[in-house]
Amino acid sequence: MSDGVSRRDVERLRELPTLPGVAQRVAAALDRPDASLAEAAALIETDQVLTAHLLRLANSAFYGLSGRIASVVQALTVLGTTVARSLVYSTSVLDLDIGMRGFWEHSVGTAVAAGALARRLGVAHPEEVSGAGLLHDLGKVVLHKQAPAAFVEIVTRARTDGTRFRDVERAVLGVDHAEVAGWLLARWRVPQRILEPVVFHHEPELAAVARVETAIVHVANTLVRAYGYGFGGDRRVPAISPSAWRLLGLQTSDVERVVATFEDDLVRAQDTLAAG
Amino acid sequence: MHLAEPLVGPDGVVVAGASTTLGESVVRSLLRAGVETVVVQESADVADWEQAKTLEEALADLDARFAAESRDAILDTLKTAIAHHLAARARRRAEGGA
Repeated sequence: MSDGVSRRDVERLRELPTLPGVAQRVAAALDRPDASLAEAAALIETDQVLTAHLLRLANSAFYGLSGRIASVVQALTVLGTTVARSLVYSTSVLDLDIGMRGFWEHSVGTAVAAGALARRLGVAHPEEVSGAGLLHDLGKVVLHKQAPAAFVEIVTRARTDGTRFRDVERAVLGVDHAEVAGWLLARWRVPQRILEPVVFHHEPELAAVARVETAIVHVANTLVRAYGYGFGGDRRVPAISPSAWRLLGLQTSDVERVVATFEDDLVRAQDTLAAG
Repeated sequence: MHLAEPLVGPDGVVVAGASTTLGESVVRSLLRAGVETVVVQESADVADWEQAKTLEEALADLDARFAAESRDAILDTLKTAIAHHLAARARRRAEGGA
């Protein structure tokens, strides 16, 4: 732990936000086999803050569409129920857009790249993989909220030293954002297929249930950093785990295809939202 | 964000002067007038990934991003794919395509 960070900062990280009752009821509504988006939307709309966060999220996910997702039902339709559930969890207590220049773009870019890889590889429910990509740096949001002074120190040191954000986190706090996200998502009982890609996006070989989805988010994170889109907290391009690469069976042609369509996929996502 | 150059309509009338702030209402007006692209002043408000770059600049940035990383066959594959894409995109733009 660094001199500038108190033990209290680290302890505060474990004082994670609890899930409000309305979010629990929304999640239950979305979990039912006959899930009704209208019912879930009606529940969400009873909470003005949650409604505002979800609409802001849906609208800010893709620039140029500000104000075009006007209803909660429209947002749920576009996002899909599993992704919506995870986002309801997150946005009910956390603002995913933490104001760090490029952070949001990095998360959205990872979501888009993860979705593109999932579709290219024929993975079931690519929208869930995309949702996990959007949430993969949730732990940084928690750090920003629960330990703001430490967060600033980490960002500053990563920028000035050229050190990996995750290494600075461990030096400053003794934990990293992936571990912190794991505490939160486990507490919220988020399904493993969303939890594992978030928690293990730096160490995909540790995933036990969602191995393919985790490997995809791991590769997508590196792809977006390599592409230079957004800012994940440092300017490094993390190595891709050879075992994750083998698991996905990625060929050069797959990578070229996903890279070639990355910008188009962002635009297509805009079109999808516009038509939603 | 500010206009780098005056924007002139088809009738030769200046629609918006240089240095006009591209606020929400101005952007709406420009969109209504059918304006799809404008030249903006370089600004610290424009992040690196939001800037239009030449192919040479984009490739130099790509090299810089990988400079601190160890050579690795998988990262090489990724870097090569991105370089090919940037070159193809520059060719399309030069030919007047998307």
